[in-house]
Amino acid sequence: MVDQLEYIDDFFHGKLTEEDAKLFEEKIKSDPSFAADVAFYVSARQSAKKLVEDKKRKRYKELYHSNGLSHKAKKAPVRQLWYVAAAAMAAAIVTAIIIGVFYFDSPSTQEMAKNYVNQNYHELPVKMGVEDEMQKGLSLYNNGDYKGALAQFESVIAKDKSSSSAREYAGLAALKVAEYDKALGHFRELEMNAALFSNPAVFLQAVTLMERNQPGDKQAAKLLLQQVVAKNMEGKETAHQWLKKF
Amino acid sequence: MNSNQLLHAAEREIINGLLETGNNRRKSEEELFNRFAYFINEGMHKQGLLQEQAFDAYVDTILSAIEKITNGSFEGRSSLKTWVYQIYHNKCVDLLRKTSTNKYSINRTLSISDMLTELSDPAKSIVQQLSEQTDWELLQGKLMEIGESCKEMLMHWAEGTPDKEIAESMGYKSADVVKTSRLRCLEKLRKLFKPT
Repeated sequence: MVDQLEYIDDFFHGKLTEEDAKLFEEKIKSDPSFAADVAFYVSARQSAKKLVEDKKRKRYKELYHSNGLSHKAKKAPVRQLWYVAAAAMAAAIVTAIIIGVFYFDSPSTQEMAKNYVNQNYHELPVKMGVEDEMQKGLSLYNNGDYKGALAQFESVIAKDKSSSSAREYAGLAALKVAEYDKALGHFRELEMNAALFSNPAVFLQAVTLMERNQPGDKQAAKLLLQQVVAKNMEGKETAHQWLKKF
Repeated sequence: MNSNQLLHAAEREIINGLLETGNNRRKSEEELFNRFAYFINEGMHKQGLLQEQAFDAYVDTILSAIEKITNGSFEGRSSLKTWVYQIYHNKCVDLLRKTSTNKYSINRTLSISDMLTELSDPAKSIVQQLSEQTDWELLQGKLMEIGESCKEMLMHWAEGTPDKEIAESMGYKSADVVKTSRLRCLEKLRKLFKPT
């Protein structure tokens, strides 16, 4: 068994020749017991990595407390001046009146998000004369088969993790079938693509949260929209309008 | 624009330190942590998190940032501060959403995809599926039972420390001895995890 582990270890340390590496991969595909050994090797490494991170976590806690940073983080005490309370009450009354005036005319944040997606992502652009997985996904999306489209886009991503288009479209397809966690996951990955000149990822995360509308989502969406406006990201104009209605 | 021009000299120094191993890397990790620790305040005051939540989000951020810098994912297209803040902001939003079952968010501590880049897709898919069936809690538990020396050895290995450096740090004669020792520790772990 140690010989087997050594063979696996040599592969992951790049010590096998190109030919032997191909044989290694063939063995994974043809020998389930060997594949399980490789999976164990990989899992063992990840478990050990978790131990390393737990140790670092503990060290950072010590640093945080020993550097005096934890004391600086305490919140400021509340002042109990009567005029502060009176001003706050007056502001609350005015805010309530404004909200009441707008309430009957304004759509909910959930509706705003749904309307936005329906208007702006009803169809996705297709390249004429091109037949590949991406185009197949786009056709499925435009024909309303969002589940099928999602599977296609995720297949593209599995082969090319850097495909920002596939990420964006996978997120949109997931949003269309109300798989909000999946949509958020794809938009988060899209956000990490710093190579994009114009990246709608943060805005689309806000849209997803608004549509999902679970406890805490509205507040989280608001923060994201504020980020979009502050950093002049794609979706800034719409974000600015929506923030007025939050 | 040259991506390095977006980085301050101090930020470049931290990144270079993170790409080394051993004590230099550990020192740079702590410098990175200290440099942006004030984000924790912002997590509390701007985003309304409790101190412990803001701290946990920040630690996750730093661990994530270190992993991305060491595996080459950070390309320096923004300053280090902007990039780290972006990660931190997302972590804070996660906490506000109180999401703990989002299977599509990347689990930094348990993602194995980075390790499988050398494999072609079919083989990678097989190994990934098998790994996802791992009883992680049991495996972590068995890792704590293999003895301090083996545990330390495997932790160095998991961090990507070269065998030659492990030999120096743990007092082994050579890199070859480290490799043999590592394989014995893995075999010991395997027998504890799946006794036959």
